Amino acid sequence: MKMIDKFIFVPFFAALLAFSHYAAASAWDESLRLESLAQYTSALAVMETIVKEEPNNEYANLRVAWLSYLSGKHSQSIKYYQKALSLNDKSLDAQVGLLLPLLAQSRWVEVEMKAKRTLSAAPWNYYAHIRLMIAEEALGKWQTLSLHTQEAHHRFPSDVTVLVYQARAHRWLKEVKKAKQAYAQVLRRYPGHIEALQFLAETY
Amino acid sequence: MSSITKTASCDFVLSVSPCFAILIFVFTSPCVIANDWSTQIKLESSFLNYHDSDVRDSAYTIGGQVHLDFLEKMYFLTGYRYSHVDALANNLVNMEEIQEDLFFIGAQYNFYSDILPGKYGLRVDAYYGEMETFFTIFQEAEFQGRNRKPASSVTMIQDNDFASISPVLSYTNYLKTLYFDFVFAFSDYGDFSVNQFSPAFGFAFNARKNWMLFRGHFIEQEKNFTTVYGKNNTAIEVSWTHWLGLNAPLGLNSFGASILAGERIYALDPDANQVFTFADLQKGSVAFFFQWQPNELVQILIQAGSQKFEDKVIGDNYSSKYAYVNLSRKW
Repeated sequence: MKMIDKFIFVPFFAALLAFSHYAAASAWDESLRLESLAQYTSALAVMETIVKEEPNNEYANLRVAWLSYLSGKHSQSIKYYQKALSLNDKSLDAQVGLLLPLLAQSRWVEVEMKAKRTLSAAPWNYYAHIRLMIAEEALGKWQTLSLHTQEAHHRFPSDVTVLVYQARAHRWLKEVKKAKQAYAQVLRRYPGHIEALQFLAETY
Repeated sequence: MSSITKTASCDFVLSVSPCFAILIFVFTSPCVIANDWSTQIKLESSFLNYHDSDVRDSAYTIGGQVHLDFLEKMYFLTGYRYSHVDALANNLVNMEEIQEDLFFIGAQYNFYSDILPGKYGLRVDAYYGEMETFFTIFQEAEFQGRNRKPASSVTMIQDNDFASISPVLSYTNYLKTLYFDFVFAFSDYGDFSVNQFSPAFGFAFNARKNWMLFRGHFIEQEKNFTTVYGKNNTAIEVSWTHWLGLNAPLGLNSFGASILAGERIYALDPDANQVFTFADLQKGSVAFFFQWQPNELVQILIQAGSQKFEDKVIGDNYSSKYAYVNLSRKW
């Protein structure tokens, strides 16, 4: 009788385990598939079931945070990025990811402070620099933005975005010659850049 | 020789201890990270000249406030304003001057929601003021037997203390193109009290370069049976602000105008943190303002305007012209 039980139940449990593993894997895959189709709300719904079952899964929390941001649920996104950070406070993914919903909520001072904190741990993290520049622009910190972009341009000399922010800072500081130089460099890297073309046409 | 008469005292004692407790918590909390806090100090002054008044000549105010922000999550503010009104010589009511000390504190906590996306602010402001009105009392010559007591004058001081509390619920969308608030205020003047409801609606237009704000003032006086101003007063205020971009003339950051139509008295102005206690019935105003930002930390605001008032007790219709300046710096 015992032998019969073994023959029946062991394969049954093995099959059940395999099925549940397959189901979980397919849920992860499904969320990626839906995200690739820009169906962010559906992708988020799939991930939310996973994170409910595995609340301390760091990657699941990061995925929910990211998909919440893409779905326009910015407060929820912040909550999950913070949860991911509580699971791993060294995570640069979570630190720079958190800046996105904060930017969407126009929380410029908070972005500035958090980006600076990230940069103290990872001084040349590109995303932290760009998101800090967005906050500095929104706060009208033109002198700070000018100095920041000059430093960043040395580190990312081929980057267009840094040069655009540099040109804007020079414009607000009424440094027309420097602004023209920066926009000229933008056009070298991105021919047809509308903002650069407009400024150079206005100041010709 | 002087005699002091207390005609009104405020029974309502505002409990400010919870606010101080919050401030103590804020400064001592171990989770406080210095960088997350920013401070703004604002100094302000105004000068006002009355025209066609039978009583008032001129006035000035001087004050300051400290604004303590914790990121975009909450703020605390505390401030003080001294106001002084000089009366005309030999005026109808024998008033000499008015002095007022106004103390105020406030706090706001912001919530961010995904349901109706935006920032929701829950704010409470509290005000306490002490106003002294100085009158001249003339005493006629008296004869007591052979002794003649010559005519003389004494100064009588009328004290009026008041307190106000004002909860505010506000909403701003994330793009900062829409704004609503609901301002409630309860003011206690000892002999009577005032309830106020001042909702506002604001919106940005023209690529957020312009901002319009409409605010209604619905003011109701309670237990003031002697008032000649009516139980209810209503006014509407409209202000427009235009932000200048690059190449702004005179280095201006923004400028704008505001008008007030209708009538209001004993009003609390939630935008200026002001309680209009010694003003008569305000019957309209117009103002222009200009704001500069010489660097990232400093702002200067200059405002000039004209206001119409009526003192219904003595039938005094008059106006005033004023200039106001404030200088603020962030740390």
